[in-house]
Amino acid sequence: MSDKIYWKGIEEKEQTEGFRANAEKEFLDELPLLSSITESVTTAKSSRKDFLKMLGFSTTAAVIAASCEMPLRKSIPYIWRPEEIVPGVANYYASTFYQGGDYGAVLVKTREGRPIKIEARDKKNARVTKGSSSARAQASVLSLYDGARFRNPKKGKENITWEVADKEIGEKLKTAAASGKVVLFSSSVISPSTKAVIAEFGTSLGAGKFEHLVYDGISYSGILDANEKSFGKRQIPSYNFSAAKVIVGVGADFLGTWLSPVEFSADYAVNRRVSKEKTDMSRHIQIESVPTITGYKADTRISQKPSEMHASLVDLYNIVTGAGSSKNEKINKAGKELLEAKGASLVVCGSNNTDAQLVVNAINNALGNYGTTITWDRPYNTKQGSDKAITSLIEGLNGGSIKGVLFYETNPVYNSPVKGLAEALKKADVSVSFANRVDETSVACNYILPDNHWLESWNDAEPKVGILNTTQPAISKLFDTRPVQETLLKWAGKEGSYYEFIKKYWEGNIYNKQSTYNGFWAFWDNAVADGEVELPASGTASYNGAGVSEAVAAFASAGSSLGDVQVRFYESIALGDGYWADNPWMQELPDPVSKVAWDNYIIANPRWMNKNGYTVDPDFKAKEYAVAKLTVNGQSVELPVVGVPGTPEGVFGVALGYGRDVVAHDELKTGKNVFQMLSKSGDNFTLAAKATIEKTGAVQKVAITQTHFNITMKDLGGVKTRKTVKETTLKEYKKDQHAGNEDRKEILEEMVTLYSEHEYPGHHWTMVIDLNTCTGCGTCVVACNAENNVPVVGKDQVTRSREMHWMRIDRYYTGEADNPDVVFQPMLCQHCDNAPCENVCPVAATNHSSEGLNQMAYNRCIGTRYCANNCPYKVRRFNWYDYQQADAFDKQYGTSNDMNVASETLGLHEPLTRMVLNPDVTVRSRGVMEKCSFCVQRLQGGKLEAKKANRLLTDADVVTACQNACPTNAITFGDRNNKESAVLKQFTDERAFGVIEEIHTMPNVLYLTQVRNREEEKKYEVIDYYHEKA
Amino acid sequence: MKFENNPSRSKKFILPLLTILLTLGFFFANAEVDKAQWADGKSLFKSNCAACHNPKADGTGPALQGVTARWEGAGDFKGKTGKQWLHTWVKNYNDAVSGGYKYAVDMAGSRPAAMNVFATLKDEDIDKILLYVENPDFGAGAAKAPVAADNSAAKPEEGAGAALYIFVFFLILLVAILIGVTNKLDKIVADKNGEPVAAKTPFYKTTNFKVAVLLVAIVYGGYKTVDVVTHFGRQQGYQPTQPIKFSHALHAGTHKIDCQYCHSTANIGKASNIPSLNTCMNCHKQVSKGPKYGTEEIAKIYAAVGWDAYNKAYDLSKAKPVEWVRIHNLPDHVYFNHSQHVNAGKVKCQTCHGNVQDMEEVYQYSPLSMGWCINCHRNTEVQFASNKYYGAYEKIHEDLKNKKIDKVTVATVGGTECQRCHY
Repeated sequence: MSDKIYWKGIEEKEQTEGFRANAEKEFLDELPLLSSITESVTTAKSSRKDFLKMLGFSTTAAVIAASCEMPLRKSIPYIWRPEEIVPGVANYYASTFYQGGDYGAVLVKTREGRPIKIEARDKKNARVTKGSSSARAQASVLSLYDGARFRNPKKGKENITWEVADKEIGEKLKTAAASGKVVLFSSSVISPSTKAVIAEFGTSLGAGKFEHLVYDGISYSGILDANEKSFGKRQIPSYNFSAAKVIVGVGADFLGTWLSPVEFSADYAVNRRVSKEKTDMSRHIQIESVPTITGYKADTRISQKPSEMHASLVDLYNIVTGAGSSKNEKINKAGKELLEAKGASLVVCGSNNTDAQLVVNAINNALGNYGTTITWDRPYNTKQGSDKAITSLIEGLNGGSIKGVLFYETNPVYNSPVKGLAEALKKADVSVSFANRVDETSVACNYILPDNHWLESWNDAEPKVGILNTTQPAISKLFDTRPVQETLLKWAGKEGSYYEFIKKYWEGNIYNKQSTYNGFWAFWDNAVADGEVELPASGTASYNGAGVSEAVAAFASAGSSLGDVQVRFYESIALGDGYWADNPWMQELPDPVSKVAWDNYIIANPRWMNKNGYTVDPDFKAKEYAVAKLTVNGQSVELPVVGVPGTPEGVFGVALGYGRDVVAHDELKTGKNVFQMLSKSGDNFTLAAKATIEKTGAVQKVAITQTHFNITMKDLGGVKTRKTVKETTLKEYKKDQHAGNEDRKEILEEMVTLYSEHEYPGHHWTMVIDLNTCTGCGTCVVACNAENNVPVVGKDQVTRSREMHWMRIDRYYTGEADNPDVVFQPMLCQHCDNAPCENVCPVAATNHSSEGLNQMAYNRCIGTRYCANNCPYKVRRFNWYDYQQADAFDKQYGTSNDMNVASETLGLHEPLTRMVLNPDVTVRSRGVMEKCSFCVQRLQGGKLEAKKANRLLTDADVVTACQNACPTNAITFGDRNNKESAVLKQFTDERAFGVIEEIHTMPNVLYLTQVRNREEEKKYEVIDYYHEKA
Repeated sequence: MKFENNPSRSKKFILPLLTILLTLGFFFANAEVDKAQWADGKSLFKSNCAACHNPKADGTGPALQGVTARWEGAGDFKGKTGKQWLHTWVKNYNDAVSGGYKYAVDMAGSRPAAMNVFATLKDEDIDKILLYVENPDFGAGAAKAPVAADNSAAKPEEGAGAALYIFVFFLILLVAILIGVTNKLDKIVADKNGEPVAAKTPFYKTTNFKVAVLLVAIVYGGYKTVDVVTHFGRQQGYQPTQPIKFSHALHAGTHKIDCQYCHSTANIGKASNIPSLNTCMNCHKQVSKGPKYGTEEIAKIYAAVGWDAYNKAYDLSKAKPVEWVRIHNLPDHVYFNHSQHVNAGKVKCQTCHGNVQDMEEVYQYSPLSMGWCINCHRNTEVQFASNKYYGAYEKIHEDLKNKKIDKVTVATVGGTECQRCHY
């Protein structure tokens, strides 16, 4: 056990007065509700008589209101009950999520015919996403019920019918094709049937009259172009992280956002998981500038400026080819390790620079990784875009060669780095957007022909060549929308539904390539039921070495051309390329790295901030961050500056995807759009650029949650002595499996109590979370929101430390301040067997169950908040407002509560959006406490299934929402009284420990120590920012 | 006596003789029918087949009398006789169709509604049923089947409380009379002795009495207030008027239709469904007239489901769901699952819903209060020995063995904890 210090933010490390004065309070405001009462009320004279009058009136009113007859409730059965629908029993349909460039093999959970939750599909039918899901897939169910969706086709602002739309647009397309070209502009299309539809449509317009341009907001153009040169194929090969012993990531956030993060996380975790039986672990080196969760998870994180990273790539290339070495010892070491793991290593790079990707291809080739960790048998279809597409479109429109444009699953008016698309669109004869919610592109088009939501559609998807997925509708369409494919088929003069088209396509193109099923119907039914079909892999490609020497030379001559101040734009986990900006669940998900929700901001080095007069640790309550003006290529943006340890000095990071200015609700117009600050380098847009930065003097509130809910307060033992996270190195672990966790034995021995302990005659629910495989991605947080009806509270409430998330991910820093080690720790109710919250509740609303659950009875809670004050883990959440209008008399909507919090202004309480609520979980009302229940509704459901089947309960019966969603299977849950259970094995593992269990809470959530595969000892320095500033 | 060749006489003679012979003939013919088997067959038929079939008339399914002969007449196939194919058909008609037996294929095509699957019926059960359908009139007037429903949950006797009140009233009256008599006697004695009688304050003016009355008022008033307040929102006895005068007494009582024939999801799901109209139509395609309201109420079903009784065809465009009034309402913060109780717990419907089979109109029989739930959970034993799920409760099994406890109730396995119902 080392005496490392862990901290969640600079302010916590420094334990500043401003931080301590507020953070030690469980609740930020003294009597926050008074602030909403107007002055006239607080200063009014009131007598004892008035008080009695009010008392009398309210009592009588309550009695009258309550004693009135119960409302008449109707119970309306089906006329013909569909066989598969049993009221109160969920159905699961295999389907495929593909939105905003993200793919997921999923199961859609429906209740009484409405989708309420996205679950990960079983591993055997999820060959790409490996039985796990992403935060975005989880959140997509909310957008189905978005009240702001288009309800019918539109011509400008005017509503029209489909007949009118077909007639008018049909004619206009003809004239457009007569004088020029018609372009379908889209993000990468992975549906083979949709591609066939597009081809049919193109043919109908005549030869040379149609073009399909593909553009991805987050561009992979560089790697595609490089592969075209090196392999003759403009595709991205499969990466197999589970076969890699040494992984070097160069600016590629492959666990968070890069290419196929869910798949990579699952594969990566395979070699990161250690146990008594398997003490080997992969080695991960990450070279990056702006910190990402991937860098934070690496064994060795090399923090470099974007300009230095290209040089490092060249150095690595020289080392692995034996042509030279680097001045940087860390790079030399990385190169050496790669060479030692020839054929079992992997280098990935997130740069959009073709030359950089050419060098990476050369490195992987020199290491013999093609055929082992990188294979061409199943290349990705998910990224096909070209950065040239956007220029071609704008030039074509301005030049008059493009006369008609159709936009499908893309929003280039918002996320095009090249300006002028909106103006250029005015020159087209016809412009059509197929968006189903309002966005920047749709308002710039003549027509809006809303597409179905994916949960309402038939479709197919081929994320990787030869892996085919089906999408089936889980609900009939809510509004007067129509699948794009049907629209295009209609315009091409083909009648019939898209469903029939898909079936015909599969019969002609896929059925004949498989041999499992004899007979198309059997094949099709099984494909839809399973959701996935695998065809034999056939792709090959050979490396030809083209362009490498030129690329190396180009880097050598360019040198460090980016200067002292550099900016790195990055994709955030929450909003992607801006597609998710109108999803409140994603907006409220704190960024795993910065812990900021509802905004983008400039990420900077804390030391740089101190030197330049920015406050690193603004007042905990005010959360006001200094605003700086960042200028790139003459374009400026003003954003607050947030210090993130690990950022190199002189590097500033800004997230893309924010600043959407055409969205349905003002609350969702968060942050600033920086897409137009991307500049071209070669053919492609570059994410890094030379910049200047200056302080504006303004301040801005930032909803940063990093030091909310602190466990490590000084008065409670402080950051030095409290054992919240534990870690060790692989070397130590191999010597002693208790490494890093040596003190646990002593802690357990010291546990004595005067009270009798609880008995657990049946089950004893237990969760174990492996800190080594948890990547902090936040998928579990969104899954929990969806499963447990956790409300969205909005930026203002988050700033006041009132976010309602039952699960948060604490991020602890330790070590070097400029490049610290990081531990991510999902924190949820620990269901203590000796729970401090239970014995302070005056009404016994929270108490212990015979299965080890710390139960919370909402209807008994009177809102004293004693429990939250007494909870050492700070996992209890108080409903300051009736966020979901559970209490509203008689009506569940309207403005009866007039509370002006996000859930109301975002329309989340409206009847349509409330359809997403899980009917098995109570919607909590104002004034009650809530917290993680271990998904008790799932536990009860699992037990009932076992009882009905007359058998013992198994692990598969009880899967919590977070466990199901976790991409790395870091969460294990089950009954530890069951000797067969996986959780018992983990619970008794040498690495298992409870957070601050020395205070004898006996938590039922244990964590496994983080193990770092690293030889070198890091210098554990403590930087005193305040002295440095002086 | 001389026999005369008198036709009328001989006729008179022959007719009774014929009658006797015929009766005897029938008797002997029917003598092959095993009475017990036939009775079994009848009850099997009523519980499994009667919803769609009638031995003598076409319904949702065809008339069944003569079915054995029809199938046997269709000949052998694949080494199985027609009767064996019939058995296959009854168990799972799909097997007979996919087996390729022509008669089965024709049968499957002959009707719009597919037959149900009866995988659990054994061969001898089917034989019994066939015995019944071929001889539906045999043993008419046989003893009625015993009443299946559980009558133990009947309402408590109402008379007992009233008798007690009357008894107490008479006691108080007696005391009052006795006090009056002793007072009078005292007065007489005092008059006789010439003692002066003090002007006595009446008892209702004494301080003690006033305090006592006040105390009683406070205690009673307090009790009543709490009682009334805790009953807010409870609706025991709630009996709203329903859009169709559906009689459970007729369906579940007289006709003994199993509760779960209509409320079929009680066994599998959280909610016990109000049957969708296609369930009603299984029988009411044939039954268009009821004993009490004639065609009036059943016509409402036809209107709702869009059934044209004259043309025997559906027009779903005219269908409009029936808006029943919900009787049993639980607060939103309570989770209740029917299958937990009906399937896992093997609780009878009547335990909570009362003797619905006797109710003309259904009312809320139980208070549906938390105290009522908890009491039942404390007293009801779980299927501890028979359900393998409870094998996980090793400690309780041990306690049972060691006689530390004598029964395992719902409460023993944690059934009174908050988060069993509130989450």
